[in-house]
Amino acid sequence: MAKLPTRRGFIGGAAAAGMVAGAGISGLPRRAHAAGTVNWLAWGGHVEPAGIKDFFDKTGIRVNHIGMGGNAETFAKLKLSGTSQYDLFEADGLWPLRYHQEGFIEPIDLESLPNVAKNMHPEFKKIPALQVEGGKMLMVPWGWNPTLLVYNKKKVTTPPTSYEALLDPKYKGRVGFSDQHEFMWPVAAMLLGIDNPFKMNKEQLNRAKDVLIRIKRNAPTITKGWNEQLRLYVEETVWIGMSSPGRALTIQTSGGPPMGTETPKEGYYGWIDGDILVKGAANKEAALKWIDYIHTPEYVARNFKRLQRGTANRAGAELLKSQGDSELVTANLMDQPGIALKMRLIEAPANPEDYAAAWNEVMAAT
Amino acid sequence: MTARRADIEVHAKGQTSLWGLFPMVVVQIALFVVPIAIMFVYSFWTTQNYQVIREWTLANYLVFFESWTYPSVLFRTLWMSAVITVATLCFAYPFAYWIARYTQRWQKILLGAVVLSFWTSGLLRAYAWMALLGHGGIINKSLMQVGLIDEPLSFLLYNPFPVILVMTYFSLPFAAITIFASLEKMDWTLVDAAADLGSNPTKTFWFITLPQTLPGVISAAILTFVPLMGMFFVPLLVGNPSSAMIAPLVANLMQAFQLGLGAAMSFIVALVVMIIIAAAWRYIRFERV
Repeated sequence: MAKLPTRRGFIGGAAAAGMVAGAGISGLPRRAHAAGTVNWLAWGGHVEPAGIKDFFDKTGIRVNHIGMGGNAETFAKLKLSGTSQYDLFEADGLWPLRYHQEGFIEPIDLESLPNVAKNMHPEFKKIPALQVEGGKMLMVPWGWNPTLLVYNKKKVTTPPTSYEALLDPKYKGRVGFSDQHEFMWPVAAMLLGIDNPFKMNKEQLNRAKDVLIRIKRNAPTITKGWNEQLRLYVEETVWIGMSSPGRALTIQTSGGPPMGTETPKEGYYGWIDGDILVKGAANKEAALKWIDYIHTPEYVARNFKRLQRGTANRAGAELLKSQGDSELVTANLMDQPGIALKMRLIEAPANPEDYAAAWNEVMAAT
Repeated sequence: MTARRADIEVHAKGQTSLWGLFPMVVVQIALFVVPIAIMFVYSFWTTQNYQVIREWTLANYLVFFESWTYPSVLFRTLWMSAVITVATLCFAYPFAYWIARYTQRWQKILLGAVVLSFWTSGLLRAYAWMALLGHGGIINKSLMQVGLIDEPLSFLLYNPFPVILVMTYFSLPFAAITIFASLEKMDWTLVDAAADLGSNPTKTFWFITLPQTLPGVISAAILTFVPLMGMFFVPLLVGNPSSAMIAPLVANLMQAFQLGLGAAMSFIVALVVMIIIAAAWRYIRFERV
């Protein structure tokens, strides 16, 4: 006999649906059962409309892109509404482990995808933390970047060697401060000598919060995404902050000042993002075909020329070089995949309630 | 017509009008009562490690009140919203008055122009303001080019000033149209009579025009104030990082799966807004009496 939903279950379900809407999550995907369709929950920057069209022309498979927010927001969305509406979604760093714990993921044998097997840097095919049984990967790596200190060479005349520079009163109103807390907690933790920024206890989190508040007081604004950061560096509103070597080059080539990049003595974090196959995806075969397609050198070159950051795809980087974009490849470390494996990666916080409360206190602080 | 028949007709009319209210009641319940009820229920639940714990507790409300962080941001939001509401009314009233009184031929075009701003996304309009006010924006660049300033004017962006400016701009159409409607309905012969009896324009405005349009002004204030309390992107984009408003903090909590605390904060804000509306509504009714 079919089990009737309980009153509590009904309230919970209705409330969950309401909360999804309340959190500003919009753009409902089409149902995943539609034949020849891939429902791809992905960051907008990864989408090349010309590639989607070409893929459709070649395979008859439609790619339905659904815009994605941050890692925690996406995790919340999938927890509340389930994964059945999607075939593929994306994540950063060690977040795939969190999804794996929840049973959302079907690991992928990267060697079974011809373009991935042939074109990807070997280092990215076997990232130890993201590998599971039988050598399968939880995520198909796409882009990556270390997060280092970047600075305006005209205004910051002594190259900064430590995150301490972000607290320096002489840079008041000139420091970049991102709304991506995953990249801000490591700065505070490393300044305090705390080993794992994502496993801080309440006392450590409290101290880290105070450090971030001090950095925030040096910032003109809290930046929302790369485009805003780029504008602030180009206009010379912001002189120093955290980003990648490739993006320092982008600032210069966009008419900004000469930029420098330094590795902080405290260490650094970074990210590797990629695509994840939903466990029991309704359109699994089509989804795998799409992943394989985006790892063609042509799609990769087009996307990374626009995005300007590191790629996990060797053939794509080589195509960019052959197209005369060697400077872009070098600045974005596309030919040095070994660096990606040395980076410490962002991850899901162990105690998200404490992190969310602490971050809100950073945001609310005067 | 007998009294009995009249009674029956009135009763039947009453029933018909009640049925006529049915669609509105459904919409009200679906769009107002249900979301508030969901939010209310969630505000008594907590989350732990991305799991909703469906056990009734006041913990989220205690979090709100146990430190000064959230109340101080709520007070700041109330204060900013009040300042922006006053600023909006100060611009909207003369503008609406001018349209109602002096632009008979162009009235429809001018009102259309007011509504026109709604055709563009609010986010895009906020970005357009950033392009105007930023260090590399048109205002700073022009002033530097003509030699009036050497450095960009820092108060133009990432300060309370642009928040007030941009949010006033966003609120102006709502307020102007509401005040215009009440000016349209006003009995202008009283203004003419006051002038004939020797009253000066200021006195006429204070004692004739403003009292007659006060319900419209209060409605405009409510229509301005309420959305400001929940304004999310303008303070984030153009405001000072040290002057946070409440809506972005609620959004942070929702995005981080802190649904209970986010709901409790939303409910507290909603409650404050409802109290303010109730007070204003009471005043409007009192004025009518």
